[in-house]
Amino acid sequence: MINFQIRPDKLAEEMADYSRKLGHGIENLIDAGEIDTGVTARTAVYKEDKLVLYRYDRPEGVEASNEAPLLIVYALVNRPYMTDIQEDRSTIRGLMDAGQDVYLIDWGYPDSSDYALTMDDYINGYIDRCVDHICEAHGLDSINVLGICQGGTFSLCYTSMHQDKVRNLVTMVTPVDFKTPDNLLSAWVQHIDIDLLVDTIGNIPGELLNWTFLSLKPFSLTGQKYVNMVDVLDDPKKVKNFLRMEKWIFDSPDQAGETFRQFIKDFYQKNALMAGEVEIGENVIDLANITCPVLNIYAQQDHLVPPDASTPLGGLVGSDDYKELAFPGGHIGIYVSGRAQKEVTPAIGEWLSKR
Amino acid sequence: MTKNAFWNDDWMNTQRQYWEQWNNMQQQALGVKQPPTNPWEQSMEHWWSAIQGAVPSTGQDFFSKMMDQGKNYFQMAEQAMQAANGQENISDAWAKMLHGLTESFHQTPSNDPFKKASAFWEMPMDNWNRMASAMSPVPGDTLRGMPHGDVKEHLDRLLGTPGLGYTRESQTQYQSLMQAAMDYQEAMAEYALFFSSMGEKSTKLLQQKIGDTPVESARHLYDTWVGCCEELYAEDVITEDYAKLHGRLVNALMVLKSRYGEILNESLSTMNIPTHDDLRTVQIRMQEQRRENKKLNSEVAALRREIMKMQAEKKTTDAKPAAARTKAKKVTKKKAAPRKKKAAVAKRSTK
Repeated sequence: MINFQIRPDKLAEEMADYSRKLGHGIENLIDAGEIDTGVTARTAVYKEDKLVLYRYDRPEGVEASNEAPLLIVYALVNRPYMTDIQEDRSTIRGLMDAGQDVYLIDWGYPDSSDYALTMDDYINGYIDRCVDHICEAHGLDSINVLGICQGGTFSLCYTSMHQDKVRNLVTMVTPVDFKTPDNLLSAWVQHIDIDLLVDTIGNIPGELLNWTFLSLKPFSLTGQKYVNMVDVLDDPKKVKNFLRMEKWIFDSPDQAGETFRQFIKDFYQKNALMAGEVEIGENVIDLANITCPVLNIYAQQDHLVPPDASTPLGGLVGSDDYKELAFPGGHIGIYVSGRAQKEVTPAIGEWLSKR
Repeated sequence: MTKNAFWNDDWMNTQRQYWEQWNNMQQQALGVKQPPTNPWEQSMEHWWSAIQGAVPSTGQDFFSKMMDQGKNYFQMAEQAMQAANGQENISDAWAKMLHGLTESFHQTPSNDPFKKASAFWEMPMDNWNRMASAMSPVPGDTLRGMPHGDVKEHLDRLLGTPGLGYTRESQTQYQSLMQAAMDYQEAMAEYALFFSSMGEKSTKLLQQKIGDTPVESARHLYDTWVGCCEELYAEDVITEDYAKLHGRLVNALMVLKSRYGEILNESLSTMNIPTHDDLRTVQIRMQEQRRENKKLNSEVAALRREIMKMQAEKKTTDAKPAAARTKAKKVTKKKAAPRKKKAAVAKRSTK
């Protein structure tokens, strides 16, 4: 027996309530103005092609307690301002508060002139030159590296080839095993002819990536989210924060064709990182070459990089000092949730400063 | 702005009357031929079109989505109400509505009152079409109406006929393009069918989920519906069957695009305009050049550092004997002083 108790008068009232919220919310939306991204002051210290290496400015009088600076290597997918999205939700600020001197690589927006950039160019080229720049600026032989998502995978490859330049490695929501049963992204790319895709369209458009990510939960991400948002439209701060997140979600740079080709074929389709068969330039990536301390942070409700995709790292690295940190949240919540600000960044800072 | 808001008292009264009309129809089983139109949607659309210009572009899309989703969830409740037309109790009406929804996944005639709710399951397809449009010279849904089934089989045979004569190359290219377009259309139809069958399952799940819990609001109904859709979607899209379907859709679009590209290249080539292949060669060569330059720059920088280091070492080495000589001189001078002193003493003693 279906217990359906929506009465006409109640339904009319519900519609009126929804309408009132929309009506009031429109004023907050008009007042929202331009949506700023990235809140912490920073200085561009190195530029190469479309890449910019930023150093975050420390508040006056506050010194970094850790001698070794920390380089954040973000994914090529989406923009790195996720790590500094708003004043009270900033991984960057949290790391600085935890005594770290923070640098970040902004990859920029590749265009057709970047089509032929390979993973070798990104890892042994761009990342290596950024590390060299920071080492030289600080008079050090090695620095700390924090890789995020795909940037974490890049950082693992980099460290396995340049262990002498990495003092400590932190990986956040980083895929290592790309073929776990619960990995939807992986399942979906298995039957795509990647060569045909890249040969046909060259760089992979951001729209294709957006479609893929929205398709993971289409009804919630393209529908219900907006209904829920109506409930908080009367709060100008929440409206602005929501718009900021919307901007980030749809701010998807195109992917350099050749890098995309190798990343999807070798990592997702062949799962070659697990097998120790990935070739970057003239090197074969063996994660056992990583002997520095490693902190691997994953999100327990991550639908993009499920925990099982991250945790095999422990069995593959050659380090005696390997630690995992499980965060009770999702792929984005690990940077922007209130809990992450209290738990994740202080834990990274403490772990790094001890080493 | 709020003075002209669409949710004022007049609107509330109209909306109440609208629902009361439906309620009367339920109770009295009047069987009205033309249902009244919902003033809420109309008012909201008028209001939005009036103020849209004042909203910053960053917020327009976001706000439209909130309105569309609002319509979605009220439409579900509305359909349940409408289904009550002629029924004695609301539960029967609800069962009728779900039945209608299930049926609508099999066939969606233009006047079907359940079409809007069943269209919810077209969201993944719509998302695909938007993305495909962004990458194509034609709208993503252009090919949805292309013939399939038996007609497609005949066309397949026709398009397989070898080209003849002077223009045979060109004929083959166009036949190949047509073939790719039909294959893509077929892949899209399969994709749509997959979601259609999933939609049918979701109504059954919805029926199960709301079986015991009283549904008291449109929002409750909408949230439960979304939950059912996501649950079934998550189960079905992780399967190998879906992965193959997904792969076929993407691959079919790429084949179609590459056939377009071949014809376009041909035309560009005849006009002495660089083709896609020419550009690709340039892109690859440029990157090789850039890589080589960076390598050379890096080697030059390393050599420069080495030279500076050597120069610094040389300076240190050169400075050492000089320092030693200076030291020696100083020592000599220091040693000479006592002699002077001695000499002075001698001088004094001789006095």
